[in-house]
Amino acid sequence: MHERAMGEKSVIEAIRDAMREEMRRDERVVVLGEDVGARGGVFLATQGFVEEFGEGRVIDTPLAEASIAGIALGAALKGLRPIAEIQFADFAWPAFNQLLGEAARACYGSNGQVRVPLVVRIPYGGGIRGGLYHSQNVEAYFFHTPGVKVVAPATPYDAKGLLKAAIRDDNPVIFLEHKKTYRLVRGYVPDEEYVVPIGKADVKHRGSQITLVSYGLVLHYCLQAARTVAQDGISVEVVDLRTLRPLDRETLFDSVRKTGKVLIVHEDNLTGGVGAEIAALLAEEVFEYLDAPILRLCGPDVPTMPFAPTLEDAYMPTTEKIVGALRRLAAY
Amino acid sequence: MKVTVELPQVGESVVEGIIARWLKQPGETVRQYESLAEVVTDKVTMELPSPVSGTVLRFLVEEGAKVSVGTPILEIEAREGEDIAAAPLPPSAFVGQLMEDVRPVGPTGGGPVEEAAEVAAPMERGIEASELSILGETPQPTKPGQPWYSPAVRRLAREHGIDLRQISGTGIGGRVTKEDVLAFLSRMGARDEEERIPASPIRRLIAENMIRSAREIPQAWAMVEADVTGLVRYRERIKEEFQKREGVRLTYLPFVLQAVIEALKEHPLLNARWEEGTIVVRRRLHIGVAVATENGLVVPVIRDADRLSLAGLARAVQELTERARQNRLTLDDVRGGTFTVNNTGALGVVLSRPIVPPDQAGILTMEAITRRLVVPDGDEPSLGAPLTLAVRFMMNLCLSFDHRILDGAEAAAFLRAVKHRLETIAP
Repeated sequence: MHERAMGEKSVIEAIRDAMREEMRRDERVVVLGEDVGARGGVFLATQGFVEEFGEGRVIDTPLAEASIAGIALGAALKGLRPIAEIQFADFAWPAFNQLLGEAARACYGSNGQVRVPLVVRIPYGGGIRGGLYHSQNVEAYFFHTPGVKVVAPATPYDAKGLLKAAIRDDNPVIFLEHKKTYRLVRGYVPDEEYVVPIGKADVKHRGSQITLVSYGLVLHYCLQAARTVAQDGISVEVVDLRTLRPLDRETLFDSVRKTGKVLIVHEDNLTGGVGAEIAALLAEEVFEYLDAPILRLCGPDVPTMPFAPTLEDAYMPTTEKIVGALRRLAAY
Repeated sequence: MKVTVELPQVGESVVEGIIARWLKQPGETVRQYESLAEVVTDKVTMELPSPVSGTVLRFLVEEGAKVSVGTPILEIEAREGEDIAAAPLPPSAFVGQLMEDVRPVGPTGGGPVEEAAEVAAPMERGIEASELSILGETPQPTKPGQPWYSPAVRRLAREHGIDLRQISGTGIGGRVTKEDVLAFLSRMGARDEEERIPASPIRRLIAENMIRSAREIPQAWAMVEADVTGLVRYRERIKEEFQKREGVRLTYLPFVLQAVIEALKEHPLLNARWEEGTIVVRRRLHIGVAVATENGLVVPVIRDADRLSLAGLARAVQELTERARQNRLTLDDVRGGTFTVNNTGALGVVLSRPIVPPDQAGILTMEAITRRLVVPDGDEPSLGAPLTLAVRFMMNLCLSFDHRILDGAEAAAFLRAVKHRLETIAP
């Protein structure tokens, strides 16, 4: 059993704390979504909220993602600061028109006169035996779209600080929470008030030979892999993107100028993913510092997460797959 | 290591299941992914795969029991090396730790899924390339055998002006990596871009002699031109017969040696040494002949050279030169010279300024024989006489001498004597 240290929280606790603190600080902040009220959310992100803040600010909605997003957008336009919960990323599709077709364009289309202070929390990701409809990665769709910010934290500290920053942001933020990190990852979260700025990556492990870029759950596998290959004398720098859009270009460029080799790891499908954009950026901006081809270790291009445990395991980036890729890159 | 198997999340919205039938009994061995039990839920009937390979220890629930998700149902003694807790944890408090005792919450997710057995074991055995099919083939520099340089390597080479062919690569297929270039640069930087070669013993001996000469001897220098057309023609005429008769090749060197020996007899101050205010004139003539070898310049000595005929000198030169080039000279071979001749002409040089060897009064060089347009002696234009020009074989003779022992007049007289003898050889 793990002994819980002082100030240690799980990711889901950090998210819950961030929302509770912001709702206490600013009464315009409301939450809405399926089962967020009496049930406290299927992952218990809003546990105890309806008791503290009442049904006026903690709103159970029908099972209809388009309406959740549309109601949240309308509330934001009318001066509230809603936090909408999409229960699973796999069910976000009906909400796309409201989020990408409307919310993302409001500020631009009104020449800055209209702001949409909207946060959409979206639990996503596989490795949890969720099968075809409870495991998907959806970040690339949002990542492609100007007008939204896309945040994908990996740790309790970053999750809390970034969610507070998202709630205080005046325009739409897609807040992606990897389901498997909810209770799997525990770490220190200070009691003091803090905010992690959107758009800043974080070097989670310093190294000199290979830049390992990742985010979300697999960031932790990357850290394990970096420590494993360190025993062979391979020095890996792990960059946690934390925010996918806008990308923190300078942190990436600085790291690659130092190392010359890059491995990008994400669970989302390979083609057209976040890694593709990073590879293109690096080729454009720091080509003359590259000492090896830019490699991507990503989920394969299959339509969704397979149900069979063996196939799901084959799909997921794992520590040992990352170790293998790092060794090959080091040998190049 | 004992592994407790719990009823896993077997489907969306499934919270409990019935253990319909055990497919393995206590004591039986089970492989990873082999079915342990048949589980019936309100939606599906499925077989429960084992998370590890090992031996079934005991059941924690009875067959037919209805249990909720996450309930421990049986124990397995995992095979050695299947330590499911072996995965290392991140140390940083801010990064957080991956938990092992997490209960699923909600419809799915929030907890780990028997990942440990899948993580720990493959880590031990390393990774086969084929397991990383997502990455395709290992990146390979194009065209094996041809050097291929990455953008980073080419940029470093350009910035530091390096010829990359100097660097041996440690990457795949001998590729020169960025690290190779940086290591090369740091090696070079430590030496100020210079190479340091320890001098061989013979190099150090030459250096000591040259320093001694340069420090102790005030050296003066003079040169004459000799018309050796007659010598060239004479040698051409007799060299084949000479070789047949004497068994050695006839070069110009014995002719010059002979002329020098005779001139030294007339000008003995050139065959002297300076010794603390005294000029020591040697009566015997031991002529050093400078020979270039792979290891450096050596100067073997022809003893009592004045007693040798032209053929004798030719033979002595050939023998000493051969031994010098075979590195077989003895100390006696190189000691005791009284004057030195250096055939710099063999190197194609037409003018040189040699250093007088220690304990000698002079050194003479015979420079390359060249065809030149000259006004021959005796054809000086006098009043009304026509100017004639001729193509002649000319050789420069250079002399460095110890100005303590003699002056320019004596040196010039010696040079003229050598020149006269060479110029009067009849074709």
